[in-house]
Amino acid sequence: MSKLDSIPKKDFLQAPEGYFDTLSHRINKRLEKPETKFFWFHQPAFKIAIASVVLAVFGWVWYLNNQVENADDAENLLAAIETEDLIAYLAEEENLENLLSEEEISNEDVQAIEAEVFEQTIDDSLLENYIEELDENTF
Amino acid sequence: MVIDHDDADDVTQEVFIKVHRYLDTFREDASLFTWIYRIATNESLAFLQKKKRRFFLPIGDVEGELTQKLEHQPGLNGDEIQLKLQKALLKLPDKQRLVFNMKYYEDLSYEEIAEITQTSVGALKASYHHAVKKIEDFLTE
Repeated sequence: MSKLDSIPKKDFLQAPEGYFDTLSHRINKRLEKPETKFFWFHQPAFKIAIASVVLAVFGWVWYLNNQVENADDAENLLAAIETEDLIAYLAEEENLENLLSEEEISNEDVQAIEAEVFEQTIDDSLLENYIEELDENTF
Repeated sequence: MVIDHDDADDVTQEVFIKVHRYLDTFREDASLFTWIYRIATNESLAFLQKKKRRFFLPIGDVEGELTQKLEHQPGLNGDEIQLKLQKALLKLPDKQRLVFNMKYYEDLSYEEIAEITQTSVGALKASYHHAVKKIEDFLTE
């Protein structure tokens, strides 16, 4: 005989006296009352999930705004620099000559430049002034 | 299953309210007794699950609470061996305890329990025998 079989079965849980006499009345009362509806969106887990999503959206919007502001700052910085300074900077850049030499100029472009240069005429008075200055500087 | 009388009262009322509400949907594919018993077991298990989840209680706390309620049951006063048996039962998982109660205390057949719990007879036999083994191990400690 197992240990369990040696223990007498005892129904120790009893309904109190008169319990079933009033049970049907209590159930009918509950049936008459309108049931409060279960709204899943009132649950704490749902509220936490919504709060997390809202925070994530705000964080994303803030991050994007930050990116735009950084871009604006760069443009503002460039705008603040004087044009002459920019040109001077570019002229001093060693890379500029290299860029020009490395850039391939097509034959058409060469012919166009030459034509432009040859077509240019110098004013006689300008030429005379230039020669006088040369003389002054030389002698 | 729920030990406490007030909790049992709540669960009982819920069971009869559900029977009243869903009686139209009863398809008579099982007996009325089986159908109502099934609602009762589902409500009991759901009640215990809700109790465990409500305040993020670890399982041990609910077991401790039920054990305390057991100790105050008038039917167990002075009966140490019965109290020990009931404490051993509380150590079982809820569904296994349910199967044990139905087989041991209610004397239901495996086929009837299978219809109520919609579990196979084989699984129920295994569950019951494991439960008996665990209880006997606890009783011999």
